[in-house]
This record gives sequence, structure tokens and C-alpha cells, in this order.
Amino acid sequence: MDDGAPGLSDRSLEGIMGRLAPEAYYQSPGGRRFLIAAALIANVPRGARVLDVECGIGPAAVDIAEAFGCKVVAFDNYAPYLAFGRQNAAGRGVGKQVSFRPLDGIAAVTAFEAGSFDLVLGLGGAMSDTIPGGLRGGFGAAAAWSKPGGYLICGELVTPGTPSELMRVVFGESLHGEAEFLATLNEAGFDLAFAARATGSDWDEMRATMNLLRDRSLDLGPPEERQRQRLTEAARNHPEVAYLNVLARKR
Amino acid sequence: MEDEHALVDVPSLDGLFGSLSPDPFYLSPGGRRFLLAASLIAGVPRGARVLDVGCGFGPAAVDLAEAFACRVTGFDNYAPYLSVGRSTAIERGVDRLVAFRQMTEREPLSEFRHGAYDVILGLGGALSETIPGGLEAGFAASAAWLSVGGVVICGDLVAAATPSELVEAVYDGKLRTEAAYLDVLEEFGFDLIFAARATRADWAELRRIMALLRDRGVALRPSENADWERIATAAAVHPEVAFLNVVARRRAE
Repeated sequence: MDDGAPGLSDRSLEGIMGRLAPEAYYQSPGGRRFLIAAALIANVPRGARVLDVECGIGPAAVDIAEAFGCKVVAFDNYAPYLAFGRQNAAGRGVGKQVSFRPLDGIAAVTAFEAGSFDLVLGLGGAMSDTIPGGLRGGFGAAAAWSKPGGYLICGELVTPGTPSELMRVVFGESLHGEAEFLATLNEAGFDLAFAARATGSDWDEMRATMNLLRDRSLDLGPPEERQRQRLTEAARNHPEVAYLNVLARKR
Repeated sequence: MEDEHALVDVPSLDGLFGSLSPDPFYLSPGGRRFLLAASLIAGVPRGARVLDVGCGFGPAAVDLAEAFACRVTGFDNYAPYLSVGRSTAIERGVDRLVAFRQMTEREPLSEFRHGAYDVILGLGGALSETIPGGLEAGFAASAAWLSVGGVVICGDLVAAATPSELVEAVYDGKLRTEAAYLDVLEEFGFDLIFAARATRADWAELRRIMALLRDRGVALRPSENADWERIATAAAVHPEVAFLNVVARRRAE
């Protein structure tokens, strides 16, 4: 740039992504790109306290620790995932910033002090799958854990309109309408800051990650987790299904 | 949060939203929310030089001037929109930062200096509809106007997957697939930073703005008539059609 205009900021999405390890291991469409974009949009400060709900192998926990110097508590009920996460965190030099804890959703509700986190993460459907009470339970817990003004970054399969009977059969009650998802978020005390439906390339990237993990014979979770992942991968081109990533702020 | 570490000079999206006028009149799904989010994601600095292609009423031009003190030139071929834009810029105290110019067809290609802009805006399909030659010409012009490392923020209707014959007929064969759109972007020298399909709420906001403009008796451009609005409204719920918003950075040669 000439004419005295300031240069583009280093605090950009590609700048941050370029400094992170190339293999991100996110198992949801949008994954790392949405997480870092949302963190920039929210202006997450260095050192923020983060809770990663149903963290899986912990890619978001490690990335947010590395990119923003956050202190992260991540929990999941599947021990092999946590072992992978710890190894990854240590390998990327953030082992002291990220704590992985074996917890199921019921235990998690009372395990953390209310109002103690600046940012709650619930990628890959964690808000509806983890805490008793489904999506309402997940958002309620996230609101309780968050400080006022804290942020929630989450993502979920949704249907753009009203789900058909066939989709109800396939996904049960877990497939919410996009409007219903956002209304539930609002009811739980969050104001929507930014929402984006995943693009085709987001889905392609997730599929590539899954194939990479399979090639490396990583334990991809218990049977219900594998089934959910299979359905998510299959949903890429289905007109009744979209993947919605969201950034919201606790009122 | 640990205030001693907070980046106090960088705003958040809701902070920016709270400081801007409540009626932005974007005729594009995602509108203000995507524009400001994209600016934060790409790290658009204060004082950046911006060219707003097919600016319409100029909501994006005025918002970037107010939010980031950008120096903006907006151009459009429809004079009534530019008048509204000038009035808005004055009302919001950024008329010294924003210039609106009426231009048609190929005029902009010779009017603006190559490499002179940090940001090109082409919201609401402007990059495919403004410069003769369609999307390719829009991206080529954007690449020429931008400095290396500059960003384009744009949006367009796309087909989520290969469009059916019926949808091809409705859009006269001009509806590209999302993948084809991103291929053209890449071909003309841009690296994708972030892309998002608009949500149902984004479309609902567009409908609200259209209704507000109608209520206020604002004269819309002849091409943005009742048929256009009907197609836009119908597209919001059609599974084959999506609105893709994109922010991308110009690569070095």
C-alpha cells in the first residue's frame, strides 16, 4: 500500500492460520477457519479462560491456546480422544495451557464454577450432544459457565426449513431448524454476533480430515459417534441439511 | 478477561454494531454483519482506501468510513441511489471520507488507478453485474485496482451444487456453482480468506429492509423491481440456491 495508508494488520485470519500446525484434525465443517474467524470477530483477548465442551481430540482447545495464549479446560467422556489431545498439546508447546479432563455431560454441569469462562466452545454438535436436556441443556450450561459478556462459539447440523419426516427418522430429534436453533440460543441468554452456514469447501475439508484420521488408524470414538460422523459426512449435498456455525455473546 | 493483555485498540463485531446507525439499507443477504466481520477477519486497518463497486445507496461505503475511518469511493450507475448515499454520509458525519460517483459500463476501468486501493467491495452481486464481462471482468478489475495484499469483500447468488435445468432456466444459465465461483476468484489472483453462506436470518433481514424502503417510498433501480424482489425472496428458501459472501486477498504477482 502506498499513499500513507497503514499496512494490513498481522491480526488476520490467514496470518494466524499460517502460524498454526497444518494438520488441524477438526471433525466439523468450518472447523479451524470458523473458530479463528469467530475469535477475531469477538476480539478474544490473550489469556482468556476457555472451556471446550466435548472437545474430542482437542483441535480447538490447542489452536485457541496457541493462537491467543488462552488457558483452556477441555472435557470429553472418551479417554482415547483425551490422550491424543494431551499429546497434541504437548507437541505444539501448549501442554501447560490446556487441561484435558475426562467428564461426561452430567458431571460437567456441576464441575465448573458459574461465570468463570470468557469463552465456551461447542463445535461439532457438542452443545446438543453432551449435556442432559439436548440443545436447551447445552446452551443453558454454556450460559451458566460464561461470564457476562463472554462468548460462545459453536456449530451444529441444522435444517434450513422444517425437517421432513424422513430427516426426523434419520436424525431423530437432534436435527433442529436453523430458526429454532437461533431462538433457543437467544432464550438461553445469548445475543447472536455472527452466524454462517458452511460452504462446500468446508465440508470437503472435513471429509479430508476424516480420511486422514482413518488412514492413520485413529480411534474415531464409540459406535454412536462414528454413526453421527458418517451422517454428517453424508449430509454435504443434501438440500434439507446445512451446517451452521455461530458466535454469540452472553447478555 | 485479563485486561492487561486485552487488545483494546481492536474492536469486536458487536462493539462496531452498537456504534453504527440502526438502518443500514444493505440490499444483500448478510450485508453489514458480513462486511464488518470480514473486515475484522482480514485485519482491515483504519484509514484504508476503499473502492465500492456498484455501491447502491452506499451503506457499505458509509459503514467502513465510520467504523474504520476508511477513505471510500463508491460508484454506481443509478443517480437516485447516489443522492441517498451522499445524504447518509453527511448525516453520519463521514462525507469528507466518502465520495460517490456516477459511472456506467466500462468507465470505471479507466477511471481508477491500478494498485491504488486496499479494499474492493462488491456486495449484493455487484462484481458480476457492474462491469461488462460478468464475474470474470469484475474480479479482473478488482485485482487490478487492489494493491498487493489488498482484500476483496463480495457476495453473489450461487448454486449450492450443480443446478437443475429448472433453476438454470430461472437464472438464464448465469447461476454459477459455489465451487465455480471460488475457482474464478482463485484464477484472478485471489486467495480465499473466509467464505460463508447466508443464513435464513440474513435473508429475513434483507426482506425487512426491502419492506422498509417500500414504506418510505424510496425509488429502487429499475432492475431491482418487484420481480427481482420476488426471485430474491424465493431464493431464500430454495434448497438449490445460496448466497455466498466472501473475503479474499490479492496474491503477489
